[in-house]
Amino acid sequence: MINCGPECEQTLREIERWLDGECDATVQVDVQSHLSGCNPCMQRVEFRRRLKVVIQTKCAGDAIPADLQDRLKGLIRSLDTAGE
Amino acid sequence: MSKGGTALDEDALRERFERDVLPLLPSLYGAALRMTRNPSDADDLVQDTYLRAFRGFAGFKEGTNLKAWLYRILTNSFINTYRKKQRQPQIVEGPDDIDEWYLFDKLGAQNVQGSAEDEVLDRLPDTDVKQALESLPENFRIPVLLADVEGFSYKEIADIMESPVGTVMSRLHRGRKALEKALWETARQRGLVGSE
Repeated sequence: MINCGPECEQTLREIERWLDGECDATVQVDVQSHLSGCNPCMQRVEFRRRLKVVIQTKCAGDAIPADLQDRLKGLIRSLDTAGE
Repeated sequence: MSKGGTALDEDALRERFERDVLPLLPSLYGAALRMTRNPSDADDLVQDTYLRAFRGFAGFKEGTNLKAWLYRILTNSFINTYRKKQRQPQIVEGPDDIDEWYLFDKLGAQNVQGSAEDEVLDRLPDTDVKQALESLPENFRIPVLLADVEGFSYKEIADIMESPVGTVMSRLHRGRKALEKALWETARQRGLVGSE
């Protein structure tokens, strides 16, 4: 996959979970320590991190139409909590 | 009036519902837009979700994860109602032949002078990135939406989608690769990168 050794491969395999904050503590330490000494891996990780931020910021932030918000507020005032 | 409930309970519940759920409506609406891909269906889906949530709210345990609970209702409503209405074929097959570092490698090969790989991403208009996400088949789009836009954990997504965590992780992974490819195509169409 990548130029360097098995440690890089091992690290890059974990990167998706690592960036998602889903690694257990041991793996987290291993990844962190590899990255601190491996620039090529670090570049890839930084790219993925930025990509996540770009997706998050550019796909969020749609304004909810004011009339929908008003309609929903009024809606439950006329409803019983047990349904119809 | 519900059985055994007093007018006071009803009012308290309604008040708590408004206090806790109304602030989450904008993010629910955004997710509904990415799911249905059009404002009119998103409007219906949010209203439907809101009403279902209100009816089920007495059974919701205060202090547990309200946002995940609402997204579960949203996702369920979408899958059971709007997908059928939209008559989309449910595509189960996903893109499998996309390289692990597709976008990084493609952008790196561009060798843009003085420009890092990710600067191209910053220049993509929001609407393009939204469309790229919306172009993914639904079973890949929903996990990517829930993880990368809404920030849910694997476990929360598994609960929301009523799928095993392993399935979520695999779809998320494949969905993200498909999104990388869609973003590359978009950047190419925008002229932000060369042809290959």
